[in-house]
Amino acid sequence: MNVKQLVATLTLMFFSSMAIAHTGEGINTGFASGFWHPIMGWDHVVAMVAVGLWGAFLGAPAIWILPVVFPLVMAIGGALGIAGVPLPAVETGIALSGVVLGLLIVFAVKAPLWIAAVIVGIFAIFHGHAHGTEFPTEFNAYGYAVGFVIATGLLHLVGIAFGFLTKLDFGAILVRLGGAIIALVGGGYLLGVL
Amino acid sequence: MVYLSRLILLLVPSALLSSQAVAHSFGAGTDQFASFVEGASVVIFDQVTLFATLSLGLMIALWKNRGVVQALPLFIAGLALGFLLAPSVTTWVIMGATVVGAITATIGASLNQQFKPLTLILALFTGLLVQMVSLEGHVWMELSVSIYVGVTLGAILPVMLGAATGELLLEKLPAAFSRIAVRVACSWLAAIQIMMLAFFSR
Repeated sequence: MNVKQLVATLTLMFFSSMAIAHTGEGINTGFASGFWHPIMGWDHVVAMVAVGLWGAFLGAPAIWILPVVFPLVMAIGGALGIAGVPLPAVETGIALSGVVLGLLIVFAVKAPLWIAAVIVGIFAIFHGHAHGTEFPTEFNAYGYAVGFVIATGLLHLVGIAFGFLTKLDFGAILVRLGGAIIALVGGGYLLGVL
Repeated sequence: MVYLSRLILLLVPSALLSSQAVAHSFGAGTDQFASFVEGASVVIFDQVTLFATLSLGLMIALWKNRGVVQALPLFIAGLALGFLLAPSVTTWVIMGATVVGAITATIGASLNQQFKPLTLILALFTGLLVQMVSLEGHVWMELSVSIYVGVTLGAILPVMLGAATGELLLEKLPAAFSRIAVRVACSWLAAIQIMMLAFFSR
């Protein structure tokens, strides 16, 4: 690059305005906000993945029923949060979900389907409420709802995919180790360390 | 020779008297096609009507194979009824359509086997509310016919799309996996619509 090119480049750089391609106004910003909300919070991530992992030990049909129950009940919690209905100890409930679900995986607990659904459903209320309360009002509501439901479902699928490791000889140990990590992360949030 | 002369006698007057060919003109100058697209867009690009109709399509697929053949007449009857009632409705129909969509998707996600009366009733109500949302407040024949045709076909399309996608999954994927995949999709649609109800009521 010669001097003329350098001067021209620097001049253009200093006078250039901000790039505004793909600003994603409207539904896009709502979708992005909703999509990243569960993924950017480790307390949410570990619980959603845990639902899928626990399903691996529960087997069919629980492995698939729990990811149906979770979004449905979570939406009710979300609706409560959006409507401003207070729910006590939301953050504690979210942290506890990591601890409880993590321990259920560590001990490979095979609970009856309805008990598993109730446990997952109770925790889903807390997670949904947090999402609903933290909804940014400046964004598109539909986009936010679609984004966060899809992100939640994908995190469940990640857990289910890891859960298939139990088909391998050493896989069950890895999955139970994953449960221990989830319980530790949940414990960290519960004690305020994380 | 006689045959040829008769043919010429027929062809020449036909050629001379024929008017200008207008194939594929879509009524040029009258904007009929643009109106049709506008009508279809009202349903397809509105999340309220789109999610309600998609939910119905998936529920029909879960009910039975080719169930859309039985459910569609009731859905169209609902659309016709909605056309008649549309002038008298107000914005409450938006919430009504979301409620019906949420109920449809929740039932689709929750029940392992769908019931015929429930599916057909929901088809009727979905059609009714979708049409009322699309034509909310418009008096009869206020809009051009092509817009009504567009709205009707735009409402049918997501139902057919949902039912076809659901049936395709149920036919092509392993039985243990396919049914629950469609139910998971229903649960996502239900969750979105339940949250939307909260947004509306805020």
